[in-house]
Amino acid sequence: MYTHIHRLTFLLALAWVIPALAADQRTGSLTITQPWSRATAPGAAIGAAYFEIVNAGAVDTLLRIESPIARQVEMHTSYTEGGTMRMRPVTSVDVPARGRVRFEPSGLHVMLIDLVRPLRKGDRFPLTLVFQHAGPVRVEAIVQDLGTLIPPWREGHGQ
Amino acid sequence: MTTTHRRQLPKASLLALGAAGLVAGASIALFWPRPSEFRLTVLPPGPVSPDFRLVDFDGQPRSLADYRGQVVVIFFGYTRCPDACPAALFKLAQVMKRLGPASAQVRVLLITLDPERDTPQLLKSYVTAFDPRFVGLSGTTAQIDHAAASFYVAHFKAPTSNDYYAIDHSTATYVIDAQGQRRLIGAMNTSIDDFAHDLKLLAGRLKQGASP
Ligand SMILES: [Cu+2]
Repeated sequence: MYTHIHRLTFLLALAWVIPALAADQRTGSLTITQPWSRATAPGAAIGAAYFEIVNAGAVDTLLRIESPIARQVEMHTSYTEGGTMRMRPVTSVDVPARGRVRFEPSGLHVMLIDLVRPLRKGDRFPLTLVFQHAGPVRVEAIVQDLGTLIPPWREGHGQ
Repeated sequence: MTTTHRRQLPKASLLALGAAGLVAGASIALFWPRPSEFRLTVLPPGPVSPDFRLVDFDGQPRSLADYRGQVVVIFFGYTRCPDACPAALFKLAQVMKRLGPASAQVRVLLITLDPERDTPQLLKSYVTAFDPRFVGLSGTTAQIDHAAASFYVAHFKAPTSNDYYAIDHSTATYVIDAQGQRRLIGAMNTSIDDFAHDLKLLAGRLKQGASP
């Protein structure tokens, strides 16, 4: 009886957790965690996407990102210098052995230039991360609300 | 004789002490920073007055003087901005909701730093997606440079590839009072609460008959 209830709660908890983690993608030693994007205004030309790469193995390098959602996809980094926010292109991103790299607002991001359609909250679209060793890894980004800076699953965890 | 002399000395020093105390008190009152009633950073009036001559997304010429009698909130940005601009506008939209009826005295303006790519239609669909009351302003490069300079806003074109450029820019939010004076400056991490608190204060004064 007790174990039955226990198992049921576990299954319920699992059912609740799965949709949030559905977008996680593991390839070999690399895990791409919870890719997300932000809704755009009608007619907006650009969007941005974020995720975290967790590497359980040897060093690898993210070479480029592809997506059918935009005509051009670039990797950029933003940083603030003397009150001015700057953005610069990044040609590749090293993922250290047994380390992680986070793409996030005001930092590394995927720049989706010339969107083929506006991004609406709840939409999903594919991103393919091309690594030097692991090769292409396809993930799905989930579109969050306009203006989101911290995805819902990280809220309350600080920045 | 010696006793009177002894008695006068403390009297004189007491007087001197009192005078010194008065002077010290007065200078503390004059120069001690008064705790501000505002939560945002208070700006002293600068040598250059904030001003602009631009065109709104409906083609109407606009200057800052057109908004006299309203509390004006200004953000400089561009629609191809990855996260700073959407985050700032999204926050201001929530501030407007928080303000309730007081929001009628507040006008939020986005001045584009990218007049080449931000067409009036794009500017309109972009800013009104955050709040239908928001207004987008554009103009010639010279007009925008002039507007930005009067707010001490830095901005630079920064190509990221052959056919794309970003615009590096200040991410401050400026609050202009109903008299057209620069009053407050908000940052990316200024909370919705703090914005709403200060805008309510400025809008409240306006209702009490300070408006023209
Ligand atoms: Cu970018």
